[in-house]
Amino acid sequence: MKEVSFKIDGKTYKAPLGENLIMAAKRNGVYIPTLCYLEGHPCLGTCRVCTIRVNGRSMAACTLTLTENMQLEVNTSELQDMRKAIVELIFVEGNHFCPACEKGGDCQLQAVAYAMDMRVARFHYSFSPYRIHYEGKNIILEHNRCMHCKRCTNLFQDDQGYKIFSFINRGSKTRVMIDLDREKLLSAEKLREAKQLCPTGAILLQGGGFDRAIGTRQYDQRPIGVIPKGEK
Amino acid sequence: MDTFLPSFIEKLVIQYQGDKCTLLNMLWDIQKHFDYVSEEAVAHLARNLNISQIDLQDTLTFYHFFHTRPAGKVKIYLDTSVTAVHQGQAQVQAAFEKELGIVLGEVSKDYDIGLYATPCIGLSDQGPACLINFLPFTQMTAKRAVFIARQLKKGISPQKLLGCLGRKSKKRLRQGQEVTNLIQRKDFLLNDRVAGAGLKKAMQKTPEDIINNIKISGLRGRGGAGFPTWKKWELCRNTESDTHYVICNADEGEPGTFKDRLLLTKHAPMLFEGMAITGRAIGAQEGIIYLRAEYQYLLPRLSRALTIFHKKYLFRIRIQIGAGAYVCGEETALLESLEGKRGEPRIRPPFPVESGYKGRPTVINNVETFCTVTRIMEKGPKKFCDKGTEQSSGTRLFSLSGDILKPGIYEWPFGITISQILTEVRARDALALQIGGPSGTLISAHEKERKICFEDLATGGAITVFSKKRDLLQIIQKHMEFFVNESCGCCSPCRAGNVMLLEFVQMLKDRKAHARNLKNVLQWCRIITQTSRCGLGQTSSNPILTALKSFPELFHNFLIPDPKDGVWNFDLKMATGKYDQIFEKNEHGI
Repeated sequence: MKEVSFKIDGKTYKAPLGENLIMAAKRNGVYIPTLCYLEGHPCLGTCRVCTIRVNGRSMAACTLTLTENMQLEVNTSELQDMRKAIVELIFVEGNHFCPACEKGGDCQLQAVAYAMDMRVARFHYSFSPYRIHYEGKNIILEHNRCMHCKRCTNLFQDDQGYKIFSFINRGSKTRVMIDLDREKLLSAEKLREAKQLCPTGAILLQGGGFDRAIGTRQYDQRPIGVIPKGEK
Repeated sequence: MDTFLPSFIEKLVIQYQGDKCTLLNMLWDIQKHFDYVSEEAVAHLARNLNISQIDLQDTLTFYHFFHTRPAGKVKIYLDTSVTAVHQGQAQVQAAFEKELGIVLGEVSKDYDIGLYATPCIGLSDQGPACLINFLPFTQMTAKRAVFIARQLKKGISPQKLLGCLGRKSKKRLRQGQEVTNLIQRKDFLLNDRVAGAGLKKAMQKTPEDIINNIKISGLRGRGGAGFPTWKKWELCRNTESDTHYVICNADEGEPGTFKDRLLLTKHAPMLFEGMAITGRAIGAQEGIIYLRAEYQYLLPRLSRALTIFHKKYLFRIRIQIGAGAYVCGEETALLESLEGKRGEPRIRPPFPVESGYKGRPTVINNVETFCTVTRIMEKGPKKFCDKGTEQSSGTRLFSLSGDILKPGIYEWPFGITISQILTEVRARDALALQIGGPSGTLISAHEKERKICFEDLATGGAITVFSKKRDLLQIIQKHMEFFVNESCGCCSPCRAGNVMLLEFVQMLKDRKAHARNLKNVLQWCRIITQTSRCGLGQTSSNPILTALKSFPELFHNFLIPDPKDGVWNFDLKMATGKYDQIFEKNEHGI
């Protein structure tokens, strides 16, 4: 693949033409925080946490691919604050009580919030009452923790190619729901895949919450990324 | 037709050849026969389409006109837009509620009648209005509501009630004349037309010439964003593909707009011609009109006009009915809806001109844009660009409603000033104007020299005038509620952010917001505007932002000053700076 040069915050880098911007930046050691994007899968463009400026316009980095001479702004204090605000919004929209969460330490939302140095949300917490959906045979849907990233709805199918997860309703009433008939039939492997796909602790498996001790998990060992202090 | 659900659905799927893109039609058919789409219906339909049930729920629950619980044989949808509220919607609602013994959102079990709220239904010039089984009833009063409710309770069909003003009233609107299309001013677009002339002239030109003519005319999309029409066509034409599509956006959903209703009612042939001209320009043989569900009473008339058109011309057009979602006016959400999915905007790039309907290059234009194209072809581009301003050539249609003596449809050239508008529509005691609906600009009636054009005040054609007796904060609140309800919910800033903005407006109204809250809210508006996925989130802060510009006192009179003894300027970084230093030192020390 042809390599092209592009700029991030004034510094010149090189990456293959047509590569996803998040990956192109990562390859060069620049971390762009993201929640919905999953390497090797089609981009979803739903969380907007990867908002950067491309040739002066704010865009979600995950939705774009690299072209020659792109001018990217990533770590200005304004953009850092904007991204942090979106993470805060996600926190106040749901009910995220990390110390009591089975996914703690493996949760991307938590890891990104730590990386961004989020201490408190600027928005007031809505404490909306969400239902926990226990009706599935294997899967528990913890709506308090769902950030509506669409990974499960768009990137997950059962072995026969049927959709198991979907959105229902719209706007602030949007929820993820499972197909109860087909969820019963999922293999253990598929169930694990579903749990891992979820960036937060919204998709849980019956009887498997604390299989590894908190403190020894993925992001406990290594932070998700390092964000440099933005320019003043 | 079969009334037995399983066989009904089986036949339905065969009728639509099991094509999932026609899901909206299937759901409409089920709802029309069984009054709502039951769980049983979902199970049968999913089995017949060979998809999971949840996959079906995805589309079904997105659109607000689809009911998943018993919703009544007769469904009354009350227009609850700001203009309708000003016209007395509350009294009409109360009359219906009392007569039917239910509240808004419920179904009367005794009579099998449901009463629902719905945003603007494109009848702001003759409101308060409602749709009963999707038939339009205009100029409602409490008396008329009581009359209609009583007749419906007796089992009289809504069709028979069209035009009946009340028992005592001798006046009766002519059948089918419930909706009037009052044209107050005609110009380039609406002046006498020679049928077929535009298309005939276009057929004698090469596609390049057609695009060039539109380029000379300077025509920009009439939906509101104002993208140069010729550029869209050329990009689409240059994308190689076996099929190209022409799609007409007739999902006129911006509250206060109704000018496309006129074009669809009276000038459908002009629209079809425009689509065929576009087809010739980009190399498409097929067109689709996406008609908003609120306008489905126009369908019989449109279908008749279409049959006549198809007899004369080869270009094929079909009409797809939506199902109630403002966001489907966004062109990529419209495409998703056309393919039978949730109306969530797509990720761009690729743009529809490269990959649109079914992945093929597609041109999507507004109803008025296509009609204007027909007239430009007929009269030549020079006559069009003689009018208007430098960057906004020509004339366009405006939907005028609110506190004015002459509501209706006006065709004005771009560049018209607010003062001219206020005089011509005979505004009384004007306080403010909403230009371009909630996503547009709220300006003060004193800003008389401002102009309607892309250089100054851009608009999709709606202008609502508010008089001094109106409560602007209530208007802002209604508009924010609209965006909260109509957000598709797929991107976080728009889904969660607008809820925050609405909460602020409510706090402000209740005199509970502090000065510091306003400062924060402005920052939040900027974040939502810059990070949202589509035009809805990018403009949903406008009710607050533009009102603050034109009516700063409105906000400041309601705000509570920050108390002096609190720590309101708390700087987290400064306060925890020392801790951070020590912490960092220790971290590295270890």
